[in-house]
Amino acid sequence: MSQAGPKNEGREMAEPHGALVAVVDDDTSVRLSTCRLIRSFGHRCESFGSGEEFFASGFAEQIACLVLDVRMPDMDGLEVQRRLFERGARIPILFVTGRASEQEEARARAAGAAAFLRKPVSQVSLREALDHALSASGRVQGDRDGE
Amino acid sequence: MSVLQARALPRAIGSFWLGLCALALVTLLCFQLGFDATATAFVYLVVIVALSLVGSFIPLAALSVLGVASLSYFFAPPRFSFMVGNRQDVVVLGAFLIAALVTTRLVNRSTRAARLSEERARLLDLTHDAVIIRDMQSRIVYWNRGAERLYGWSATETLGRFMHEFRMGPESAADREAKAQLLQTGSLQRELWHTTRDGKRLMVEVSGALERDESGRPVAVLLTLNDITERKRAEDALRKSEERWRAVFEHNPTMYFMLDPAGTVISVNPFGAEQLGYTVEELVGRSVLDVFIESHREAARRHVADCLAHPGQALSWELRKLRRDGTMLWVRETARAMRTADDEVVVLVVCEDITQRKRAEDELRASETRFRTLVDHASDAFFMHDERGTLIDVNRQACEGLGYTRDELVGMSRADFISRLTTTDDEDAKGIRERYATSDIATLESRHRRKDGTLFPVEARMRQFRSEDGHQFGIALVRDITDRKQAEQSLREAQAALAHVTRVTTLGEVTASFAHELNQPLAAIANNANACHALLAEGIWEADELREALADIVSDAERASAIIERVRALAKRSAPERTELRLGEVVRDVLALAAAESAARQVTIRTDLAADLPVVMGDRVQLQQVLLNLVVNAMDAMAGVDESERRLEIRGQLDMQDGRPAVTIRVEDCGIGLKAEEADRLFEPFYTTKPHGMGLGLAISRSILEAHGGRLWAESNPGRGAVFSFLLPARGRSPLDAGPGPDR
Repeated sequence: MSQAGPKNEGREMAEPHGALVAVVDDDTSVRLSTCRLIRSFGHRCESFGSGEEFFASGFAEQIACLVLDVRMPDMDGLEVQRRLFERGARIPILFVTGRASEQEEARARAAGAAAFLRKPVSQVSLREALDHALSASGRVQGDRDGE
Repeated sequence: MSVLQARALPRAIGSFWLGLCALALVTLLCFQLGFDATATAFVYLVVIVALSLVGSFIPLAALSVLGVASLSYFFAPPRFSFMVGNRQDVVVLGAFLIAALVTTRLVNRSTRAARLSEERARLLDLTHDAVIIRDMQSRIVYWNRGAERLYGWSATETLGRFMHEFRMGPESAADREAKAQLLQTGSLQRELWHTTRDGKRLMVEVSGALERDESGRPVAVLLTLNDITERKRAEDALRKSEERWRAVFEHNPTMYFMLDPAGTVISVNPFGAEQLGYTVEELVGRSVLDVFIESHREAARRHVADCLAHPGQALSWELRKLRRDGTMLWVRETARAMRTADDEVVVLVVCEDITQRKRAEDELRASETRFRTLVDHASDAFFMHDERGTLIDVNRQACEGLGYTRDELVGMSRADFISRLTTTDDEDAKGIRERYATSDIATLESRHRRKDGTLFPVEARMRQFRSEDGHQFGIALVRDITDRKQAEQSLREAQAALAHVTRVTTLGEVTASFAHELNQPLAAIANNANACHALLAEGIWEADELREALADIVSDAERASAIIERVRALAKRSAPERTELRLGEVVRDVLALAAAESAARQVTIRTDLAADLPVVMGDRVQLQQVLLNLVVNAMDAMAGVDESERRLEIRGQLDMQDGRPAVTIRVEDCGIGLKAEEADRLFEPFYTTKPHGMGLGLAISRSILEAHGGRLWAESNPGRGAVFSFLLPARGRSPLDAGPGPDR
């Protein structure tokens, strides 16, 4: 189940001014498609198959927002959240999950999750949550059309 | 004596003339020599005595008288005259005459006695009997030719020697007694064993007579000996033969009767009398009809009459006799009328008690009747056939089952109505033939064809026998198993339905994860579609990006479809079928089904499948069900275990079953494990350790494996948890008729 070594699966989009967003999800299809969707919003996006891969990449310090799956083998989403907090990185985190429990949601929110979304996530709710998180953190970089 | 008399006269005349000549010659000689009367008288006496040895008395007496005359005429003075002048000469003449006559008479008598004795000995030699004379010291004094012939010793060897030297009469007590008796009574008769010169033993009859002299003193014993060895032997043989026949008659455990023509018992052996509860004396003189039961007396009388009508011919019959105590017995009698040496007609009857045999025969007959009834009323068809398969006998059920009459079936060949052997495979068929050939019971299933051509399934139990006369024959008990086959079919269908239910139930346990699993590709599709949409709305025309997004949509749609198909296949209710399967593929199918669930439960699943696992024959869906069930159970068992230790291993390895290749799949968990008493109960229907379980999963799984010719079992994992294993035979065997489908 574990992914092969860390690999930058995103590509630089046409709009280099957008915020840098990371997606961590063990399901490849979901991960890549989510990243693609975020890029279509005008942001830059990097995706990772596991928490370990994400931390190893060094992106943790650079990103403006993290889209995180809850249930993953080895290191789950809550664990990723906890480690980021420990490092002092106050990155807004959007949890996206297929089947997390109420308990997990409560724990995530208590730990300061920006949003807790359930799959399938609509384009609108993801965009709103992302925008909200970026603006709340005050690290939105650049204007976007239509906002 | 007549011989002697007949020859007496010429001899007498001859000796007279001889004597006369000798006398004349002596007279002339004495006259010349001038002998006187006395001297001449002595010379005459010598001549006469000499002549008396050969001559008889009368001529010698005459010569004696002539001698007197010659003495007085020629020698007594006065010479040439018959006058005798001297008185002394008268005395001489008188003495001469007396001496001549007496001597002649004595000599003559003694010669005659000797001649008689010789004559007697010659006669004794003529007799065939052996005659021996011994004196009182047991010295042999006479040994005749008969004795020579009998004993082999000649008279010259025996005469003068003692009897005991020839092993006749060593002084045994019996001998002494015999000798005493001989002395007392003067005679004896004994039978003794004697040994001949060449060592032959003879039984000799000895007659002895004691000879006494005038004073009554015993002087000799005359023994007459007869060889009676042969006679004795014959007598012995006869005696023994008689004894034997008597023993046979008296002690043989057979009843013998001798009847007179009126049917009266003349004699009966003790056994015969005893068998009827009588003594011999009680039966002799009674009518033999008395010992028959009332209703058989007439028959007995008729049989005896038949015997008398056909003398010399043996006739037999079986009748019932009556004992004195009123009990009855069956007898077989063989009788023959014959004429005895005394010219009387008797009927000899040999009688044998056959009560036991009769009883056995009755029982056998009853048993046969019972057997026939049983066979005819048996629900199984019964066929008896010879070594070529031609039917010899059948029962009613056989006729009814096949629609033939008994007469039609007998003589038909088994091949005429047996469709074919439908055993499971060729090796079984071979085994059946071998068992059958070794007179063991062979059981097989086949189909019989009715007279109307329809077929029906049967189970036959067959066995080969060898009759006492050496003929081989076979018996087949055949059961119509139409109903059983139908029941089996219904059972199979019910089992399939139940298997389906449990399968769906098992699926239900992983449905939540299916939903999630399906959610993933659906979410990805939505993301990609939205991304495309947004890009297009923004006017960003990145062809590569759009193409990739669309390609991802297609692959995710396919992924979703595959998930649905897997679930559908497992949930579908379909008739079981046998196909060639690789268990590795089955394991992969199940892991795909369980992947989401295992992920959700934080269970790590590892597989370790040997690369060379043989192909098996089986129903893919059912085997998936079994494995999925085991995997779900394993995950359940690990629910209470720390997440990091929730490990599940699926191993597949080559195995052997009854010497044939097989595959074993092991599902090893690290869960709560098994209690010893649980290992078997686990497979009982409705046994469950889960709060909402039906308790059918393992029971059905086991029945599925058994239907596949395999087995399913549980054991404790040596480390921790439990191991559930199932084994399936490799396909190696001929797939002939292996399907579980109906036989018809």
